[in-house]
Amino acid sequence: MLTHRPRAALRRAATGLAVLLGLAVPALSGPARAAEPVTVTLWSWSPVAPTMAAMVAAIEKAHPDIRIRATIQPHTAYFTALKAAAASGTLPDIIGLTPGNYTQQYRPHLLALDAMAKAAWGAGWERHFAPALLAQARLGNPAGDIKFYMLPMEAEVLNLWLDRAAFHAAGIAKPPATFDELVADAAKLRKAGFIGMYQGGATGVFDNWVYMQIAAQTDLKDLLAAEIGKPVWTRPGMIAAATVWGELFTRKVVQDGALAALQYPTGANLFAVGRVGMISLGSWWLQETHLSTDAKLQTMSGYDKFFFPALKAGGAASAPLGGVDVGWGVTKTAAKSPAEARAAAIVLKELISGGGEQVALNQLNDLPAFGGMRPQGTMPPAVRRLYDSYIAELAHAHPHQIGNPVIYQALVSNLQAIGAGTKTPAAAMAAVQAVAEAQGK
Amino acid sequence: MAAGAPRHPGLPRAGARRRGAILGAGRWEAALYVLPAAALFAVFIAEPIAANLVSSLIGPHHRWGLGNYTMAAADPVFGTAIRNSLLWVVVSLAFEIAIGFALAILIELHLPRGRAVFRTLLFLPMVVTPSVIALVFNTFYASDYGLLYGLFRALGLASAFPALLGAPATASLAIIAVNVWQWSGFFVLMYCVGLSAIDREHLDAAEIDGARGWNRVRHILWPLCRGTTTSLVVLGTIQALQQFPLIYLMTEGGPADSSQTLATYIFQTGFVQDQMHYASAVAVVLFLLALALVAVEYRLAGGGLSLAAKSARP
Repeated sequence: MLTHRPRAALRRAATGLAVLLGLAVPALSGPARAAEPVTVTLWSWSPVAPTMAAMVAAIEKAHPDIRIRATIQPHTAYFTALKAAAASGTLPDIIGLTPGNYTQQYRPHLLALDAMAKAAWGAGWERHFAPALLAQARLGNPAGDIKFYMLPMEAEVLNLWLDRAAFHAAGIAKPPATFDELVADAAKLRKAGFIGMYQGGATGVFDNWVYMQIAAQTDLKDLLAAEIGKPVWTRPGMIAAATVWGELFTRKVVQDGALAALQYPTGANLFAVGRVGMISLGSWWLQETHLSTDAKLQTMSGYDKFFFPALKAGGAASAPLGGVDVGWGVTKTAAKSPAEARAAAIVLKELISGGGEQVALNQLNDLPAFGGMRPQGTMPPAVRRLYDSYIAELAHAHPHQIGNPVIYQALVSNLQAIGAGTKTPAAAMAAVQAVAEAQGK
Repeated sequence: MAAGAPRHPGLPRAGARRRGAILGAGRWEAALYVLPAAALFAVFIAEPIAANLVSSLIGPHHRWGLGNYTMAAADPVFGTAIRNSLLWVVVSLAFEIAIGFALAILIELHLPRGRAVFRTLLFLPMVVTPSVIALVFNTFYASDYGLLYGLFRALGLASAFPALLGAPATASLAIIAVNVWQWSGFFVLMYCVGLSAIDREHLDAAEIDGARGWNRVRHILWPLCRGTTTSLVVLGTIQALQQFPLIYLMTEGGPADSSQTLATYIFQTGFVQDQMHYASAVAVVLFLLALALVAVEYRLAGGGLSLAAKSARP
């Protein structure tokens, strides 16, 4: 018994020492652990997966201490997954966002980016972004909250595109300058076996955007007010725009059954293979130069762009609408550890003004939101011309987002009702007005 | 049954049982067997339903009450969604049962060879992902370049081509037709199982008694497949009420919300419009509707869910 006690004490002491060593060794090996890359998780629907993979590779090459786990999903699936992740507290560190609706939905989960932006680009960092883009980034913030919860990576301009070969085959020499010419050109194209103007009416956002391009002519002031939630949908100019939208259907500018058609993939594919004369898309169509293997698309020589033509003879086409295409928010998940927060800040900078964005620009993913960024390398002349004109138009483009999702949905539904002939433009706009008023209460 | 008599003859009367007997070792053992399934049910089914119910009671401006339900009552899109959900159940089931039963009779009783091939072919649409089906049928229905349009044009009827998905009056029916196409194979297969389980003696006896053709179908085959039909009606109802991908991928609930069902409206209000509490209220209505429909169907069918035909002995 006398000998047993010291042995037991020894055993306890040895066990205690082992536990201490077990705890101490990993702590002492700090430098080796610190060398392990910090993982930053990122989810988005844009840019497309191959472009994002190239962006990730460029960022990781520049920052070997950072690993990025990026997940790109289709738009609907992405925002559904985001909702579930937010509810279950499993959001990634960085998320792709559009201004207004989606940024506001996730604002409680997002970090204010002002300090991060100041650290990245210095005091007065705002001057690197066009004021319109920054205004959109804060769209829907509560009164008095001037913080930025998302920062734009890329911007876009909305417009109509035309297929030169289809126009040539239909005997049309130039883009339509008036609405009547648009109607006439659509008829000529149809007669030549093409779809005059393709409208993916089942894809709500494109109904919304075409209407907004028309309203930019009939009542720009009220359109901009409506975008930020003001109930002005029954103003004469807004109803006039709805009337013109309806005429796209009654005067057969858009194809029969347009309300059942999808803009993506169907419309874009039909346009790419030369079945469509005109289609409403935007600056992002230039990315086909890198995504397609078709020479006509790679050089853009077969295409041209124009804005919604003047509604009256002698008038001007619609002013450009555009703004943030995709931006980034940093979630509170990233703030859980200083290392992760620091890595997320680095990745954010790279995505907006660094190697990541440069890769996206080189693939003409869309237009840069950060001033001074330009695609590197040579571009076919037609692509260069189109790209430069977009950059010039973006500088004075008016916002193209409706901040409130309920009003947005009401607008889409009522535009479709006009297209289907089940509501008059006045009745449809009155219905949107009622929703907007209810939302304002 | 006499008052106080045991409900099950093998068990003692409740009043006569001692507590120890009720919670006897056998019952504890049984409870342990049930526990994993019960726990899973509680965590993954009961709790979400309860949480959804609570969420539905948080109205506009975070006021507790029935605000979301009164809002739904005044919401015309909600009304359209309910009507369309019922339309889905009635039309889908009617066609799926009719097609399924007819083809199953053809395959099981009139096809001398190749039954397995036909059953497999008919079942194939079930294994195709809805996104592919939606894309294919969007193109099928499309004006200008669709297969259906090509048929009309070949017949010189291009100007009369109906844009089925683009018209509010026909959009839902056009998608239901796709659903029927996809699911009829499953109904065929189930009825094949039901028919093959019918005792051959029954059919021979009926034939000797002069039951042939339509009479055999109506008075022999259909009643003997009642269990199968009841099961399919319940499954089909739930499937029709749950249908989401085809509708969302083909029309997004449009045009002008005309093809919206409760399932798609839950998604639109919850995930697109960010009105999760309102979406919860719509989900509660869908849950109650499914419960009520299945209860009525079960009652009308006299219970008895089965995929096999009824017993050979009357």
